[in-house]
Amino acid sequence: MKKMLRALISATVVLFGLVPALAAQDFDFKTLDKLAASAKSATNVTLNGFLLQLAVGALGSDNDKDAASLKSAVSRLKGIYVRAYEFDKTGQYSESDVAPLRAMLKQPRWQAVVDVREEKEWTQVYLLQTTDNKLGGLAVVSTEPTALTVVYVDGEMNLDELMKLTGSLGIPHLKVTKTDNSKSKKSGK
Amino acid sequence: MNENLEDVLRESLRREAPPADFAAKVLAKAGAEAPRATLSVVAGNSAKKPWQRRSFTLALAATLAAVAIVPAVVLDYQHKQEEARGLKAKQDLLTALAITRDQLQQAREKVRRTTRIIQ
Repeated sequence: MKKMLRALISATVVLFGLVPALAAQDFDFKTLDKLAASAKSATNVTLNGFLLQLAVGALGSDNDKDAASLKSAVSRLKGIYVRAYEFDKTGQYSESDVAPLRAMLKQPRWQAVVDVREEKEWTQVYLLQTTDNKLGGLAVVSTEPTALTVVYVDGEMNLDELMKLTGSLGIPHLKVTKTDNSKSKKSGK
Repeated sequence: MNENLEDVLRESLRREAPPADFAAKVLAKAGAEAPRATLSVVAGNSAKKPWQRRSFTLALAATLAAVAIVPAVVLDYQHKQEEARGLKAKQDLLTALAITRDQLQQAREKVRRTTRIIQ
């Protein structure tokens, strides 16, 4: 009986120790990376640690006047991860490819701020709140019949500043066009 | 004129036997050179021949030059590599921010559209 009780206590301790560790885990992009092979176009950005520091440091190297505002918008980032795929036809990826990410975003630390489903399109925007009520992360999952986009921004970010930076600093303005027959959005750089 | 010149040349280049004391004179001169070499050793210079000393100096100079230049070249190469990585990372960051901003704008539009439909 004592042995069972001890085992139960140990299991509980291990479980409580694991939960925060799992909750703190980042997105697992491995499930998505394989989609690049069948995609018409694929954008894969993984910037964290030293590379992100290099990128932020390189901002303003070509005397951009908006570099300072962009730098302040991204200076507290820990990482930025983007996977964007466009496919020739429908069915080249399945919901099961995105399911692990959606499951991860259901953790209580993430708050869904946008969840729009329109016919075959589904857009979700999640925000991560830090313990001191700051914006600590952002995740976007957007699925369309022939396009899939996942964005994960880890760290504090000023969204208003980012939204203001349309077209400046060489940030390409991605024009959104709507086609009538497929009702799918296409992004072109 | 030409014949005269030829005669003069022939006379000048004519083979001639050395004088009888030639060998003795050469040996005497070689003997007089020897103390000078001994003196230079006493003065502290190495006994190496001049060409050996010159090649050592050249090798030393080349080594010093290499020691001075190689790190600078390596540092410059590393700097350029890092700069290239930084520019690539910057481009990636701008692309990622553009996609993020675009996705947020699309989400905003969708929310507006659906809100209008509900109203």
